[in-house]
This record gives sequence, C-alpha cells and structure tokens, in this order.
Amino acid sequence: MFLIDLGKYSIFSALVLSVTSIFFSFFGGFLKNSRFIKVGINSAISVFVLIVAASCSLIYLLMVRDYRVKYVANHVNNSLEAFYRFSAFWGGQEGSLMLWLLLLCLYCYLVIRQNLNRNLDLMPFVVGTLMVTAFFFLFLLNFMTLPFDLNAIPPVDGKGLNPLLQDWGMVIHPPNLYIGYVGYVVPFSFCIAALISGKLDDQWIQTIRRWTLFAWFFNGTGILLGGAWAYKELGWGGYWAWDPVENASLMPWLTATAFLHSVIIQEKRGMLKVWNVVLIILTYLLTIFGTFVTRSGILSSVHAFANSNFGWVFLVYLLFALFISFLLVFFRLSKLKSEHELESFFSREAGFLLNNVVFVSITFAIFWGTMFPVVSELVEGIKVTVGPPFFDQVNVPMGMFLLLLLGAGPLMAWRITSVSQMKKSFLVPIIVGLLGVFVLVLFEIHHLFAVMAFSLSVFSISAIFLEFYKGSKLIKERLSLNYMSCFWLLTMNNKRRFGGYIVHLGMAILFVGVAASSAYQVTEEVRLRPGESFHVGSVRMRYEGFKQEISDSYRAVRAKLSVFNMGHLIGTVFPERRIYFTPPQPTTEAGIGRGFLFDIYAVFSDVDSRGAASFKFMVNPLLNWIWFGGIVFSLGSIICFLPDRWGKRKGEIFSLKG
Amino acid sequence: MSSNKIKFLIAGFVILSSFLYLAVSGFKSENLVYFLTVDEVVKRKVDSSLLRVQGQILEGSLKKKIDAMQIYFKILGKESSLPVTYTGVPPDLLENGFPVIAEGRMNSEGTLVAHNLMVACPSKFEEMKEKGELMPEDHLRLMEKALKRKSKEIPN
Amino acid sequence: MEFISLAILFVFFLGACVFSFWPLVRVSSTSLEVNFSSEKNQKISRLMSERDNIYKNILEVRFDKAMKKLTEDDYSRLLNPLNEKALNVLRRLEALGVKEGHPIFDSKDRNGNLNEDENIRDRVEKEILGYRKSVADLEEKNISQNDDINEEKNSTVGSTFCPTCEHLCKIVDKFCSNCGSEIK
Repeated sequence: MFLIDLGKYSIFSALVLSVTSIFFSFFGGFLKNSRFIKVGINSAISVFVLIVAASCSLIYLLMVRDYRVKYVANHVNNSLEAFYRFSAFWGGQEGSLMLWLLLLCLYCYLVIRQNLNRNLDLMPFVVGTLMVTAFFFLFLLNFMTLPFDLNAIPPVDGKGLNPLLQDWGMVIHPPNLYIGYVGYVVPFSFCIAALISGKLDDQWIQTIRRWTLFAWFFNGTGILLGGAWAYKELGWGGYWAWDPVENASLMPWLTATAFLHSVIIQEKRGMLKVWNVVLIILTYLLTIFGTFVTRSGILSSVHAFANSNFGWVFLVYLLFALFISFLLVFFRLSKLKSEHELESFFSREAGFLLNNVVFVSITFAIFWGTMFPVVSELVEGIKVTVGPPFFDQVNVPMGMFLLLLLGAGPLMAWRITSVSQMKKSFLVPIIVGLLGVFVLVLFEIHHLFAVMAFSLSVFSISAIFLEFYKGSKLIKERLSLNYMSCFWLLTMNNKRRFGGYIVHLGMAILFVGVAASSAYQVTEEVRLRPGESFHVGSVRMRYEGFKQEISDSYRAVRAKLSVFNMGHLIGTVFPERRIYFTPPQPTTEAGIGRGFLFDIYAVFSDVDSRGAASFKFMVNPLLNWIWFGGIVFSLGSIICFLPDRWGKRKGEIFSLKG
Repeated sequence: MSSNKIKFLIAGFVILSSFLYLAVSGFKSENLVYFLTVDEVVKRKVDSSLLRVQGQILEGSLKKKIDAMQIYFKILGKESSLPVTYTGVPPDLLENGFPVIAEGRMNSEGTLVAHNLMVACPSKFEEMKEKGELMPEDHLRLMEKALKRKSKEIPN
Repeated sequence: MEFISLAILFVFFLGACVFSFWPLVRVSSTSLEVNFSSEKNQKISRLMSERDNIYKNILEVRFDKAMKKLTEDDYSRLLNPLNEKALNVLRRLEALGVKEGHPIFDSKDRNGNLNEDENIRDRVEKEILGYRKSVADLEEKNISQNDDINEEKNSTVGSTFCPTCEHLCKIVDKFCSNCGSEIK
C-alpha cells in the first residue's frame, strides 16, 4: 500500500509543483527576479524527483505483480518473465504516459544542469515551457487515466502482455521512439523562450542543435526498429504499412530533418529564420499529435491503445499550443528578418530550401492522408480509410526528388555554383548514375521507379564518395598520411558536414533496399506435403517436416524448410506458429533467411494430421540493405553528435590558404 | 534583385503546385477503402471500389477447400448476408460465428472477393466487453473451442 | 505501520516543497546572485559564440576553395562578407572591453584543451586583423578622396549598436542601416 500511495500522491504533488514552477518561472523571467527564477527551477527539479519516485513504484508494483493495481492486473500475469514485466511499464496507456513524463522531466533536469549559467536569460522561459508540457501530462495522469487506480477485488491472475509484444524489438522500440519524441520538446522550449525574451540571435539555435540531433536520431532509429519488428513478428512480409501510428512517428522526423538542414542555412547565411522557428513548432505539435493519435482512437490502427475518452484534452492542448506559438512568432516577425537573399538556383542554400519544401510537402501529404478518414466522416459521413497506394503514389516521386538532392546537395557550394564548376563536380556522379541505369537494363529490370531509385542512389553514393575522396586527397597532399587516416581526420575535423554525408550515404542505401524490395517482391501461397518442393522466383523451398514444442507460456508447431538456390542448399528456415495460453492468442513467427541479395520469408499457417501444411513464401530482394542503410545512418548521426573537439588533431590544415 | 525574386517565386510556385497535384491526384477512389456494413454493401451498386466489411461469420456457412486454399463464407448483417471468398492462407482462428474484417472488391455475382481477411483481434473484443459494447456473446467460448480444435489438429 | 508509512510520505513531500521554495526565504542571497551573470557578460558570451561561428564558416569556405569547389571569384565573394561580419563582432567585443584574441571565458570553458582550437582561432583572427588593416588603409585613402564614403565607412568613430539587430551604426543616424529600426 505504501508504494501505491507514494505513486498516487507523487503525481499529485508533481502536478501542484509544476504549476508553481510555471508560475514562478514565467514571472521570474519577466520581472528578472532571481529568487523567483530559482524557485521555478527548484520546483522543476522537485517534479523530476517526484516523477522518478512514482515511476519506480509503478515498476516495483509490476515486478511483484501487485494485482490490486488495475494497471498491473491488466498488463502482466503470473507466467510473464521479469524482463517483460519491466517492459509492461510502457506497455499500456497510463504507463506509456508516465514514461513520456519521466523522460520530459529528466530532459528538463539535464537542460537546467547544462544551461543555467550559459543561457540564463532564456532559462526561466525554457523551464516554464517544459513544465507546461509536463503539466499537461500530469493533468492526464491525475484526472483522466490513473496509473495507480485500484481494483475492487484483486484478481488471482493478471491479463498478461499481448504475445505480439513479447519480443525484445518491441520492448526497446517504444522507449527508443519516446526518447526521440520527448526530445523535441527541448528545442521547442528554447524556441518559445527565445521568442518570448526576444533574444533571437544564433545562441539558442546553437544550444538546441545538439538536442534536435539527439531527438532526431532516436526518433529515426525508433522508426527503423519498429519496421524491423513488424517484419519479424507480424508475418505479412513487409515493414511499413502507412498505418496512422507509423505515420505519426514519421511526421515529426520529417520536419525535424527539414529543420536540421535549414538551421545550417541560418547559421551560415542568416536566412530562413521564421521558417526554422515554424519547423520547430510544427515538430513539437506533430509529436503531441502523434501521442494523441495513438491514444484517442479517432483513427483505426493496429497499434492504437484502447479507445480512450480524453481525446478532447489533447485537442484542446494542441490548439492552445498552436495558437500561443504562432502568436509569438507573429509578434517577433520583425526580429526574424533574413540577413541575405537567395542568389542562385545552383547554390547549396537553394538545395537546402528545396529539400525543405520536399520534406514539408511529404509531411503534409502524409498528414492529409492520415487525417482524411476523420475529415470525410465529419463532412460526408462516409467512413473511409486511405490505403497505402495513395501514400506510395504521392511519396515515391517526392522520395526520388530527395534522393537526387541527397547527392546533388553536397556537390554544390554556398551562395553560388557557377556553371563550369557544376559541370566539373557533377560529371563523374552523373556518369556513374547512367552506368547504373545501363547495368539494370542489361539485367532486364524495367520497373520505372526501381530503375530511377537505383540510379539516383548510385549517383548520390558516388557523389558522396567523391566528396570524401577530394577532401581526403587534400589532407593527403598536406600531411602525406595514408588514405584511411586522412579520411578519419577529414571526418573528425568536420563532424557535422561529413557525418551528415555518412547519413546521406545510409539513406541512399536504405532507398535502394526499399525500392528493390517493394518493386520486386515475389509472394506465393502453397500447400505442401513433407518432402515436396516449391519454386519461388529463383529459389526452391523443400518442406522437410514439422515439430511440436511446448513452453511455459505457449505451445508451438515449427516447420522445417530447406532453401535451395541453383541446386545448392543455401539455408534452412523455421517458420513457427505459436498459441499463447494467457491471453489465448495465436501468433506467427516468420522463418526468415536473411541474405545480401534477397531475404527468404516463410510463414507457416496450419498443418493437418497427414502433415500437409500451408505456407506463404516471399522473396524480398535487397531487403537487408534497409537495415544496413539504417546502421550507416545511425553511425553518421552519432558522428554528427560527437563533441566538436573529439579526435581533432592537426586541425590547422583547414586554416591554410587554398 | 527583383527579377531574381520573381524567378524564385515562379520556381517555388511550380514545385509546390506539382506537389499539390501529386497529393490531389492520389485521392482517386481506387486508393480509398470504404468502410461499410453488410447491409450497405448488399444494397450498393456493384463497382470496382475497395470495400472493408466487418461482421460475424454466419453459423454453418464456412467452407474450406484446404488443398486449393480457398475459403468461402457469409458474413451476417442486420437484414442480409454477404458471401465472401478468399484465396490464400486463412487467418488464425477463423471459425463459424467469428467476427471478421474482409477487405476486397465485389464481383459481378455479388460476392466479395477478399484479398485481405482478418479475424477481429481478441483483445479488442475484451475491451469492448469491458465497455459493454455489442459483441458476440460467446466469443471467448468459441475461441476456446477453436484453440482446442487447433491443438487437436496438431498431431502429437 | 500505517502511521509510519504516512509519516514517511509526508516528510518526502514536505521535503520537495521546502526544496522548491527555499530560495524565497533564504536570508542571504549572495550565492544566488553569483550564478546570474550580468547583462554585459551575457552579451560578451553571445558575441563570443557568434565570433566562433563566423570563424567556423570562414574555415569551411576555405576548405571548399581548397577542394576546388569554388572559383577565385566566388571565393572572395563569399569570404569578404564573412570577414566583414567577423570584424563587426570583434569591434563590438572591443567596445565591451574585451581585448582581441584573449577571450575571458575560454580558459574556463576548455580547461586543458586550449591548444588546437585556440590555435586555429588565433590564426583566423590574425588574418582578420590583417583584413581589417587593409580596410582601414583603404578608408584612409578614401578620406582624402571622398568625404561621403569616409563617413559611410569609418564606423568605429562615434558608433553605436542598433538595439534590434545589433548592427554597428553611427550615432548620428536615426535609423539602422541594416534593419531599418529606430536607434535611440
């Protein structure tokens, strides 16, 4: 009982203290009263401590299976392992909101620690804005969806965790995504603080650049992990379905990507200031919107939590945040004037601008497609949903455009690139790209978008390699080291630029995987008797037999299939069917044979007494490139994130006159 | 400078309008999936649009041709019922009396040719029960039966 | 038992509240004020970071040039405004009493790691100061030739900073030449 009380009263006192923090921070900031500011900051720290206490008690209650608490009874049961009991903390609605809040308060604490001396004039407003968001979530947890609600009669056993979620990928995917999601609140708070205080120089932009990068990295890897999980667990052979919740996680990532690019223009050229502020605000609003979509039940989705009754609270908060932020932007427009104007189409600024337009357009297209069912039901009373074909049709051409920019952007120079210069730098990548088209046509691949995607990726990859080569050569001329250490020096001395190029490289690889696996996926469904074979594309699958297994929480049937390519045995896959006991639910564990050129994806559906079994086979070409691209992408973003000074030696080469 | 500005404005306009065109043209009816009830589908004129229908499988109507991997059944509406065919690996726990979601197009004989068939998720139904919403009364009993049959099907 | 747990909870929450409101009741607030650096210091630290940023940009332009991405023409077109900007910031720093090349915060910020970054910074700064000299020479020549240009360019004398955009302006001006807002 002690822990339940501790949790309950902690979130209540956190609510009260968040209000005092908001009050004292804003008043302290306006009056420049250091005592008030200090009270605001201390209250925020107290809120953090209280939320930590509440979270710990909820986790403890889950670990000891205290079924008096409704949340515990609904999300764990007697047979669930400790690891999954821990992950049940974010498995349900109340807990996931708690995690949101916990991360938010943690970030708030870190921001206070980092910036108290550096950005003192901004800090009260930053803390205030962070606490407004915290207040909103605390309000939900105190009045709308109570994590420490009690059962009248504690049940003997809990309901348990959905077996689909009993997978390590699913355990780390939500917190990973949340780390990113919540991270966007920090840049937003700095943005609001800068707008309120009118200190709209580059200082706040520099402070949040790293935070945005951090949030963006976790958001991106969270999306990738989600895709990897869907591919492995859901058994339909894909990784992305344009589901509302997936879209909701992608949209802030897109606007944040746009921001990370356009902020460079602001730093280098003092342009696009209004635009950057708007992008941060949009990212924040989309984050809240995403959290809302997952919970409100206004959109049908496989991911959605239970339909809940507090959708309107989110809506009210969203409108409030939208109104206040844009009001502030409007009042500060005069301070957000551009220092320069765009001078040429063939400049890096123009490239960045174009990239921004494309990213925001994609975001709007996705938003429109996601929200259309709601609009249509409200306006026409017709219930519809927008299928993946819409999203593909709209986003594939725009994606191609991005793919082009991925390589073309780095080749351009700031301000202006003269035509002769362009010819020089674009020649090699264009030749390589055309070579790519030629090779594909040689192999009789005619799918328009696949060919385009491939050649554009090749173009971009070669452009990026060229950039690395040129830079390394430059260092080599000066320092006469070997290419590897030149490459290392180059990257480490200009982490943001060359780390960014590595991210581009990863994305290009990822695009190749996406294009190939969606354009050339082969799907076959067949019923086989043991010993029979079946051809899928160029691959032959032989069904060897099946085996039964019983574990504590499920019973399973596992089929064995040998995979032959050109007469050689290249591997064995074991698709599996499981039937969980509590809650009673069957799941499909696909048998996946991963390879460099293609993945074999086998789903096993049922088996009769003679041993004949139904299968669904898929060959997904180049699918592993997606995950590989993801790894390269992560590496690149980590390099961007490293502190400036790391690995920096012999920096003087850059200051020498060219 | 101003001529430069006009150039950029025109370029921006062209780019934005082409994206707008993409987004609008994507909203063709074949990209939309209509959510309809069984009765609405039966009354509706047959066209090629994609439909998603939810309903219970009519007791005793489920026929499976296992070797051809074909399934045939009827979904029950309030006033009428809708025949559905599906080719492929059937979803888990497909049984008479179960709530299903079928997605597909109508053929000329008034049968829904489903390309996507889902059994409404059990956990969803538990939520519905908690909230006192309409649901198949003996859903859990049916599910237990199906599970038993499933485990019998697997030879030991 | 019940009583003890309640007491512990009470003490916990009371502690949180006391911690939060402590700054209001504390008698001596000297330790509070130390953290809150003066307006001037904040301005200086802002200018410092702006300066570092400009230096970084200069280095990048040079790097682009060295990679042969820029023609000689483009190079100087890109570099000169940056030099100008750096100069402006340096002057503003000077006006706040910071001596060239001896940033007051840097030693604190990068304890131990002074060497490389400082090295680059010094070099860039020296070059900028060289640029400044050449500009000054030009101005002196102009004085004899044209009084109008002289007034335009010779901005260190009788200068102030625009309250809106902090651009360097002349005291006699009513409006900022950069953003157009009124100078008080």
